[in-house]
Amino acid sequence: MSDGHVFSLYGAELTARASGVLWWAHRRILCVSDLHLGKSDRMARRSGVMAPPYDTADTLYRLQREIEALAPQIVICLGDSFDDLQASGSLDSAQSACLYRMQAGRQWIWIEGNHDPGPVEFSGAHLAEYRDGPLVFRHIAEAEAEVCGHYHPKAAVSLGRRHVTRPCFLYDQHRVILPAFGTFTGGLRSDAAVLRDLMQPGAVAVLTGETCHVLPMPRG
Amino acid sequence: MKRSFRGCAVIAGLIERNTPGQRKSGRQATFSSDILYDTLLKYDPEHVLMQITREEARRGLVDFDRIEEMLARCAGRLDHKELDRLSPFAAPLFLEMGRVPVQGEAQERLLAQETARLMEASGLNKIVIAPVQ
Repeated sequence: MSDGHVFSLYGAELTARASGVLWWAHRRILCVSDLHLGKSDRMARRSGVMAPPYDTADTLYRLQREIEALAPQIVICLGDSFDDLQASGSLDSAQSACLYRMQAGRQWIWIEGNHDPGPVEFSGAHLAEYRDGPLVFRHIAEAEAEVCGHYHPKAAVSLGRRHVTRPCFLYDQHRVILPAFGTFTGGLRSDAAVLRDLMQPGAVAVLTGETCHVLPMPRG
Repeated sequence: MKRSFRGCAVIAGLIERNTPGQRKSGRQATFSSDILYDTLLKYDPEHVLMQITREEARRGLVDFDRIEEMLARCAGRLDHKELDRLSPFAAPLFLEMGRVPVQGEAQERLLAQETARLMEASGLNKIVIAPVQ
């Protein structure tokens, strides 16, 4: 499990992987957030913007690679798994089959998000939050000892004249916020007020991408 | 290619034009053209937008077609050597100083250096974030 940054949250040893998934090796839990499956479909439906419709397949493909690499017993999708409640119906048969294959032989938990606040037709448990040991998995941050998503954090690093911005994990001693895993998801910079207020001084950002890069959370 | 693609994507109405220097105040409603380019390259490299981008990139500031025609015209009268690396004369064509982004391995190395430096400077790499009991 060398493709990631290991850190501790309330005694749980977690790995933030370069792909954007969170891995809890001891409990064999793989956690991923904000898949936004069906986003290009929803964009076409609601605003008429015709983005290339490969985001759902790409997101599922990348998730499949991580599941194959890690063989989790439990997969937790931390909310906004579907871009809206109708998007779950937009997966074609190949994509649905891919999802069913990933779900086979393991426990699958859909945490409700703000985009998908209700149950979707795929199997798995549909919960508002899920507790395991010291940690709570929920969509939007509200308390301590939690693993959450929702904010799509990203961090910018200055390299001379250029800025490189990547989706990132944010963590401090109270919580970890996962980056958005979905292919066409935009992001919120870590120096935004809501993230600055939420995360303690000394919070750390872990950039995703080819490999992880760890830096103090940029606060602007 | 990515720069040319961005222009094409804006004209196609896929993304909004960003005014440089304007800070985003909240969540982005649109995403960068880079992810659209990478997705098309992976799943539909012959998409019409990609074809247009290749055309635009070819013509850009240097019309490579005309250079090819010139070489064909002068065949036999010019020693045409294909080099396996950039010649000093060609370098300015390929490397607009500060404008062509450093990608790939070099960017990862630079990122690694800079983030390590930031961690060192902040002292965070020496603190173990201990769990609150």
